[in-house]
Order: sequence, then C-alpha cells, then structure tokens
Amino acid sequence: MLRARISYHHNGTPQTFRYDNYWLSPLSFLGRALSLGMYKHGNGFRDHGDRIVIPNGSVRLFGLTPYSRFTNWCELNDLDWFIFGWDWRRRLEDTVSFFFNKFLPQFRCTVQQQCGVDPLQDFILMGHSMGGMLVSLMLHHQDPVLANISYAVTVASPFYGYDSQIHRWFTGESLLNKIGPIDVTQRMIKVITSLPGCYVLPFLDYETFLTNRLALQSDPDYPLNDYPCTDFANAGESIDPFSPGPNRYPTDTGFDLAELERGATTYKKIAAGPPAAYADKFFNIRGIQTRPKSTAGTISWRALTGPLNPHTSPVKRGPGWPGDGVQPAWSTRLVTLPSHHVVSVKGNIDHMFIMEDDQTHAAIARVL
Amino acid sequence: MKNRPLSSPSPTRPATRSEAERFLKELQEFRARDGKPIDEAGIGEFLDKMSVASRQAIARRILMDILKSPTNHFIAGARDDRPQGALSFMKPFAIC
Repeated sequence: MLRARISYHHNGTPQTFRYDNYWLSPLSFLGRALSLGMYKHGNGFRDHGDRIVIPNGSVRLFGLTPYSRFTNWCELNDLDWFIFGWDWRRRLEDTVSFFFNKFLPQFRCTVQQQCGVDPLQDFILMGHSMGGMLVSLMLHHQDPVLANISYAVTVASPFYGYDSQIHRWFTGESLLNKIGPIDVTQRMIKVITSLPGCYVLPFLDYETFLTNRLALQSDPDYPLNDYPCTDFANAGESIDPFSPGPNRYPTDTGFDLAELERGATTYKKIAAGPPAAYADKFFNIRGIQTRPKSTAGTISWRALTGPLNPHTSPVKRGPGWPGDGVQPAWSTRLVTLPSHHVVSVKGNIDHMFIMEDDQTHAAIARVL
Repeated sequence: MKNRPLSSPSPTRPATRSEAERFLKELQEFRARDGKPIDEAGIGEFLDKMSVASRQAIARRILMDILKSPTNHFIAGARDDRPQGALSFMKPFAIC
C-alpha cells in the first residue's frame, strides 16, 4: 500500500500530515494511479507532484491482502513475523540500502526495548514475487547482520523475468487505462516507464541465457530450451529486452534507456545467485497451476516503424507454459541451485495468492 | 520444521472476470467529471451495499489479474483524451 502525503502546514505548530491511499484503492481505478509516476532528480527519483510516498504494509484492497493467511500460519507454527512494506516503484538498490541502514536498526532497537530480545539474532528473509528479487539482492549487501541469517526463501520470484512488464511498457495496464469513457493509456504508459523499479523485470538478458543455457534446458520438468524473446518476423533472431537494438522501444513514451541499463546491472547480480556464504541458506519455491500451459512464457517482438500506437502493440505473447498464471515455472527458481533447494508447488494456485496456499506453507516448512 | 497446517477454511473464491468488470464499470460512475471531484462518499455507499464476501471476491480477482499480461481491450467508441498533435498532456510527468 502506498500512501502519499498530499498537504502539510507549518506555522509554529507541529506539522500536520494528511495521507491518501494511492495503491491500491477504488480511487486507483478512477485516475489516481496516474499520480504514481516519478521523475528524475539528481541521481535519484522523486514522486510526482513532490508528494512523499510511504509504503505502508502490504498491498490491500477492500481489506483483503495476499498475506493474512500466511501470517496466521506463521503464528500457528511459532514463527514471529514482520512484513516489510517496500515501494516497488523505486530502484531495488535504494530499498536494500533503506532496509539495512534505516529500517533494520530501528526495528532491532524497538523490539529489544519492547520485548527484551534481539530479533536479528536468528532470522529468515522471505520474499514473494518481486520481493524475492529484493531478498536475493539483499544477500549481496555488506552488512554484519547477515551473518545471523538462517534462511533466505523466495516464493514465485522471477529469476529470469516474465512477459508482463514488457507488455506494460507498450500497452499500459488494462485495468487502469480508462477513466469512464476517457482513454488514458498513453498517460498510463508514461507513468509506468517513469518507475525505475520496473526496469529489472523483463525477460533475462541474452548473456545470462547463454551462461545458464545447459542448466535451463536440463530442468527435467520445466525446461527453457530457447531464448524466450524473439523477433516477430524472424523467430531465429533473439531480442534481448535489456539491449534490443534500435526501433524496439518507443522514443515518445518516456522509456528510459539509461534506467534499463542500470536495471540490467541489478538484474544480472540477482541472476548470478547469492554469494557463496549464503548459498546453503537460499531456497526457491515456485508455483505451477494445475491448468496446463496457463502462463505466458515467450514473446515475439516486431520492430517499431514509427510512434507507438498502444492499441496495436508490437509485442505478442507466445503459447502458454506451465507456471503460476503470471510467472513461467522456468523463471521462478535459480537454475544454479541444487535441486533440493527448489520446491515446486502444484495445484489450484495463483501467483498473487500463493502465500495463502496450504501447499506453499508445507513447502516453506519443508525447507526451514 | 514440522508443518502445522491451518485448520481455517481456504480463502474466498475470486469473483469472475465479468463480475469484476461489471464492478469496475459501476465504479466509474463516481469518477471526477463536469468539474466535480471523485465522489468518494458515493463510492463508500456503493461499497457498503455489497457484502464483505462480495467485496473481497472482487478484490481477489483484481489483485490476481493486475499482474497478468495486459489484455488491453480497447472498448469501441471510447474517447481518446489525447489532444490533436503534440503530446502536451504529458506535462504533469515532466516536472522539474
């Protein structure tokens, strides 16, 4: 949930703040999502309208979160938990830095004062979806507290990317592209391209594919035999979304090639796996829906011949693959991990709510 | 570790896509228009008429679908807010 300060006063009395819920609420579908954009400021980013946006817990809509049942399970199994809300729009490195330098010291101090124990004496980091990428990146951070980590677990996290982010750069987000009869797709695309955090999400770069090709092909259940992103007219030509060459990304939507390059550096660090010190502690859980081939796993990409028309995207989905409905199964585990560090959860599951599933809980218990 | 599974029932089933679409269409009636802001009070009343289970089923469907590949259905007859010519409407995102 992202909350934004929209006004304040300072007239000798303490500042007062008023917060609005920007993500996700009914108002998100009435145009408020158009205010989620960011703009470059110095070496970093600021929020649209110079708001102060605070990630306040997990995403929630009408009181429903994807994690309530998971936290209930934790409590039943004597696992103390804390959900670290983070801003998925920002660069992952910024969130990692904030986590170690600001959040953890405050968290540790507060728990020590109020409970008399050190919560970081023995702890587990667990990340769902993009949160697992964040956990992977955290393991590369130099901080003595990581010596106390017992496990790092990812659930349904894309180590080799997925298709949806690429589509969004061309077509916006279908649930947010209209306000009544007004088509705001172009504005939505502009917002999405302004978010630096999303530049780590496209399919894996070609170099990573070549490095891991044999291992990706050798997965006994969910192999990736060929590069997932190809030219529309020439299927034999691989198109690396991190470096696709000319006329692939539009030049009139705010798409940021410099941020894409930066995202590639971050992504390669994640795909390289955790440092050796944490390799034995790193586990991946992936979801596979019972419904076969339910998940997009490849795209074909036509070169642009002019300005982008968001209603005729140059990017087309390929046939369905096994997966959790969002992430293909070949993406949601680090292929260099030993097989006993990867657990596949199969059934009537869905990416967003996989943390609620009894099978996921059993898989987590199995690796802890 | 030994797994102690929850005994609570499985979560609410998601609404169907058509139910979610209908909900979002009705929600659009409260959008800002004719110089008036979003009718937040109207949204509150609209949601209060729904049962908690219905709201959460809709929420589940929306949360499930928002990460999926955009389908980008462009409804025929929708009005395009782009001004003719230059993309001057992008101004709010070109803040300096």
